[in-house]
Amino acid sequence: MAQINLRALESLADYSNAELKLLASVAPAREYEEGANLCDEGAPGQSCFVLATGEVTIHKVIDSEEKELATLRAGAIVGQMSLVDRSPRSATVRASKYTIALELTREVFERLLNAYSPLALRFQSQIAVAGIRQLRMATQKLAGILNEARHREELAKKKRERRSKSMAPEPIDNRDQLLTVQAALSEWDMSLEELDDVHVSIPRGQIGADEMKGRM
Amino acid sequence: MLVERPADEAANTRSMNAEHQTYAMLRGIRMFADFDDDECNRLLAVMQPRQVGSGDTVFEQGATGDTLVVLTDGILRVEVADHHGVSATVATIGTGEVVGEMAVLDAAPRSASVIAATDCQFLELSRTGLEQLRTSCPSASAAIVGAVIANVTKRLRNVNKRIDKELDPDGAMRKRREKQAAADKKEAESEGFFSRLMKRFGR
Repeated sequence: MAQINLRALESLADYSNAELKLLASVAPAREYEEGANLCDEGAPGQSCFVLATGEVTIHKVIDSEEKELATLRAGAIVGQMSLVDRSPRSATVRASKYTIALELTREVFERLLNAYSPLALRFQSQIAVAGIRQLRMATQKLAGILNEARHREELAKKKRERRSKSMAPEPIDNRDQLLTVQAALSEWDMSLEELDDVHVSIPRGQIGADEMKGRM
Repeated sequence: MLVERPADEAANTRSMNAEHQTYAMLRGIRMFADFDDDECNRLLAVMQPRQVGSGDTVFEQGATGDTLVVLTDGILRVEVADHHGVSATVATIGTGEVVGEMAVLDAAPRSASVIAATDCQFLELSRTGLEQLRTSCPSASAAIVGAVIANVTKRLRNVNKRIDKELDPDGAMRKRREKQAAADKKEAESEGFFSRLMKRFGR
């Protein structure tokens, strides 16, 4: 196996040497040839991956067609939600080149956390931060998409009124946008840029009171 | 040898009562529900007690914040300003409620302003405070972070459901899928029955 240097990974920059050593010993490094899957959509998720080298792509079946949603590189942590949530994998993670990933299982993570290992506490915070960012991004995107749809609907309505009342309303197609946000929600630390490909306008007034309370 | 005077005793009892009231208040908050006395004490040690007057701003929309607030007395108003600068109250926060739990883990611009609707007392936990707690009382820190994760996971699921609803307002697609699946199953079963029948007749 190729040499891996955890110290060089940005997502682990705050870890002490002892913590990195512990991580390397509890999360075995696994090799994936190009095209191999780290995990499959729909399968039970019981571990998360820290990409040490290489590159993976995230795929999801949308309307019975597999779509590529994102590319993640060394340092990315994929599938963290599996450590705290028992839902099945929301997408397939595939090595797009030779990749080495550390696999941390829920069982090991829980054991370390119950012993209040500093490594587990740090990892737990990281999971929380990833989830928070995902939530912030997703609610913002969703608000934007819905807002835009409403705006377009109003425009279309005005247009119809001007022309002919019998004209059928044009359906608004934001399915792909919505599905992308939905896919990004689940557990993959998709980058902001990737979500930004989903075009939106400024969000306003689409968020409920509870959501608002929680988002601060 | 020191002899405790009755007056001190009374003061001690009073302060002990106050302590227990604070513990009970903390345990009334889901995030701190399982905290024992020691965990409560260590948590209190890293939080700053604060007081504001009615009308004062606690969080300002757009300003970066890294604190969570446990409201111990009073009412807070959550206000959102739109892009024209017009503010609307979107929620109120009462005694014993927590606000800003995500910011304490990941500092970000506040998405709303929080304004004291009455005179308020609250406890503030900063990111640094939480980091101190990770060392001084790992169990308390793990419980807080765990509660935030549970909350975030729940809300992520809600957003997901909301999108499902948007994609399929009447559940029509889901119903169609279910109907198709039932039909497929029936077909598969009847096929099985048919082939069994064929076998029986030696074909």
